[in-house]
Amino acid sequence: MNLYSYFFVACVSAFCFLMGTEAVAQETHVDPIIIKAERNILLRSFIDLDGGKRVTHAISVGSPLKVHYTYDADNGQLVLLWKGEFLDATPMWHDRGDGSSRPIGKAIQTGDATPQIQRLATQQSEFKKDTTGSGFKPKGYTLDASGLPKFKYQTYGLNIKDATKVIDGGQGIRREIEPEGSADDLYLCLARANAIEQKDGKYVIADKAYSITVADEATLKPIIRTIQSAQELLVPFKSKIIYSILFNQ
Amino acid sequence: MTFILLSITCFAQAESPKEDDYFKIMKVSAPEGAILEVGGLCTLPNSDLGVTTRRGDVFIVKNPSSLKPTFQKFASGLHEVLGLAYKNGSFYCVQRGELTKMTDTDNDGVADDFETIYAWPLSGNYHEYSFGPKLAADGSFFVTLNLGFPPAWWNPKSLVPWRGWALRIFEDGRIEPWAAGMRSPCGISMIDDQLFYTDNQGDWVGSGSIMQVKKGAFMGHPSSLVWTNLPQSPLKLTTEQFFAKNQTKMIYDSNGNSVKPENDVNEKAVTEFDMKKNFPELQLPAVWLPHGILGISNSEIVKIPPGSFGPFAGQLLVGDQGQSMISRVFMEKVNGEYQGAAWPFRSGFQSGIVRLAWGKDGSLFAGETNRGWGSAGEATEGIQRLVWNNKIPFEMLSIKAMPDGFEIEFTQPVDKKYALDLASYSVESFIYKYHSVYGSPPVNSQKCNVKGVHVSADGRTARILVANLRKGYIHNITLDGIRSQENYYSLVHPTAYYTLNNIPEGKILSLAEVSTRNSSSIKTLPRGQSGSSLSGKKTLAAKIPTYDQVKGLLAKNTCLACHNAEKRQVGPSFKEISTKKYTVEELISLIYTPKPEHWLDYSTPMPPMSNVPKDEVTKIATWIKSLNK
Repeated sequence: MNLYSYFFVACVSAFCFLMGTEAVAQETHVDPIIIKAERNILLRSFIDLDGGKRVTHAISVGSPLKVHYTYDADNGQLVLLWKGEFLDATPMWHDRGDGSSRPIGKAIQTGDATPQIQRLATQQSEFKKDTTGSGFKPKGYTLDASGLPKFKYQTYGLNIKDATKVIDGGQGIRREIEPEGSADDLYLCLARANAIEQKDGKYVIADKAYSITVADEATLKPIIRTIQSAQELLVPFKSKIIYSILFNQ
Repeated sequence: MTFILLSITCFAQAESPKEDDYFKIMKVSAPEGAILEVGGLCTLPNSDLGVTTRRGDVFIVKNPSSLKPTFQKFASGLHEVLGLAYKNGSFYCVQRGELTKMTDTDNDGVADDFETIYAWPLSGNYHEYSFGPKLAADGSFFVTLNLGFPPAWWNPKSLVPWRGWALRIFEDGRIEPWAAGMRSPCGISMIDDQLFYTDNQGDWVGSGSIMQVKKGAFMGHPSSLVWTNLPQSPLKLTTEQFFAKNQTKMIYDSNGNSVKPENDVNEKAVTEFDMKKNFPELQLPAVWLPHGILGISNSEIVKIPPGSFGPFAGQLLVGDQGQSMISRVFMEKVNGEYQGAAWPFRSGFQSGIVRLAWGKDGSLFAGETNRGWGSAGEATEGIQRLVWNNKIPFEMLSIKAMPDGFEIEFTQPVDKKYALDLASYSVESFIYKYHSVYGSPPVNSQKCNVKGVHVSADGRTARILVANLRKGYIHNITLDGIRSQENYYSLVHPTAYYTLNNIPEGKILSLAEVSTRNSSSIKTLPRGQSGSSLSGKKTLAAKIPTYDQVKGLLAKNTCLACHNAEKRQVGPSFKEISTKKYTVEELISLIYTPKPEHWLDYSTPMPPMSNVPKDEVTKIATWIKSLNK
């Protein structure tokens, strides 16, 4: 039984349960609708994160280099990163559909659908769960000649550009986040995890099978802090920041 | 020769022309392998056609009316795009979660700039479809937002602002919540720079209809009222105020779960017209489109432009997804509010019609999809084109409300022998319930006596005096006996549905000015195109009726809108129903109180059909049972 029949059976079972009937779920074969990334490709859909959170304004970007990611346009954050094949759109395009697609294979959850750029009164202040108070506005994206998007949004009065490229060998991605102008006390959260360990010039995200390198680290001075029993990797956000997310294997 | 043919025609009562003798459905050839589940259509100034799909593509179709149109993919990867507009060189589309401006900045025929004009919240419910944009005269945009359907689908919810609302959005991203009370507002439309829409039958929506959407209006479905406390809301009516005046059933079990409410045939029917006395903000339908007759899931409304479709220019056409058809509407304003008449116009499209757009050549493009809902047309998707052949069908052109009845205008002069005979006219009125039950049977039906008729000297209008006119009711006006003067044709569509929100003031005709002749007591009427029933002879035969014997009943009671004898349509085929081996009594009970939970494989629930008379429902049930052999 594959994913789609699981999906179908789950729906039918849920429906039967709610209807109080005892129908036997009948497995019907559904031809999967697989989206391949033979060139740079983008697909918007709902995307579900671990723990059940649904990203409603998700934009997944696929690469022929077989590294793909999902960007949350509600928060300006990269939420998923994975290797292999791109997307399964069966949940969205079979029958009525539920509006969602899902990565093919296991994706690393690089974000939790919270704003990546936030203002912190002190370095002990917590990040907020949403964009309230930031004046956040998604502004869309432009596509370059190769079909790669550069995302745009406004937050704390700044226009932000957010672009991601797959590293040629497929080891990971390189992100560039650039403000137009600057504002005080803004921080970019590069990672949030149980443990973040600085090792061999990398920040190893211990429980997530990936590492982060920050360009111009000496000037930017990234901070690892422990807050609410998690660790966070922050960079003061005053000008363009370039960092890479690398698969650990 | 002509004379002989004509004589034979009259003598044999052969068929009068039908829809397809005037309006041809043409195909719009698509590229091999393209999946055109159309969600949006718009014609560009250069006569190209913009098309958006549920799979997130945007195409520009060049020479769309030619035999070989060419499709250019302008954009892709968007989230279920259910509408498209064009303004100042850019396209604007509505995705599930935002209004997006798409521009081809380097003129290579492909969009490279996707600007979010405004992103609205979503809960992530599958049913949070978003429709539009429609361009207002000032360049601002209107969008309409579906309610979410939780697992208790009979009780849809507005899970985040502004689901169930229409929003006005400005180019700079400002929004103005415009109106609340929408259920499933797929049919967002702009008519003469005014916002209109069609909604889809379900709870609080007894049948589809055309409604004007004024600022601050409440369109009838209460779930969206949860946001009227937000400062931007132009509407102040609260959920509590609404339910304080409604005795309708919102049932919860001991665990607080919503229980599906069922139609109660014994209760006194409450209508929207009744409820408007409590809530002046409640917007009544301008023109009802009776469920199962003029569609089951109405979609886009378009106005027929000057020079198109002959005598019907200036009237409205309305698409329908489930019945794969188009209806025609004549609207007039009485006491400052729209009302008017609706007719079937053209059936037989290949799939469910979601969008309509006029080509520059005066033909009408229909954008189609039926995925997830089913439709009378069996194709899953596509684009078709409706073309008029410049011949004028014999139809009712318009019906206007009069203080004492209706004035009916025809497209061609009528034969006065029949037009002056009251037996040629029949009028009844009915309405739908306004309640939390999914759909409504027609209720409070009454026969309206036609007391007299005055036919104009040119034979183009007939003014009928009708007893028992009821404000707030749909009056179905059937002219089976009317014949055209020239060739004795019957009307292509002999029944109209006039929504009488207001009865105008004015001069009343006296009985001295009208014909009161009624031949019906003397002889039976000449039958038109469809009356060839021989059932009289067969009443003594088997108790189990044949398909031919029940076909008329199935059509009359609108069963055929969703069910076919053999094939799956919106609902299961009668044959498939028969395989469940229900008894006749069970079948009757299920027709009156359907149990959609018996049909998990079908996505559109059936409304209660308690209007089907007992003798007819028995025949229908007996016939269905007989199909299982």
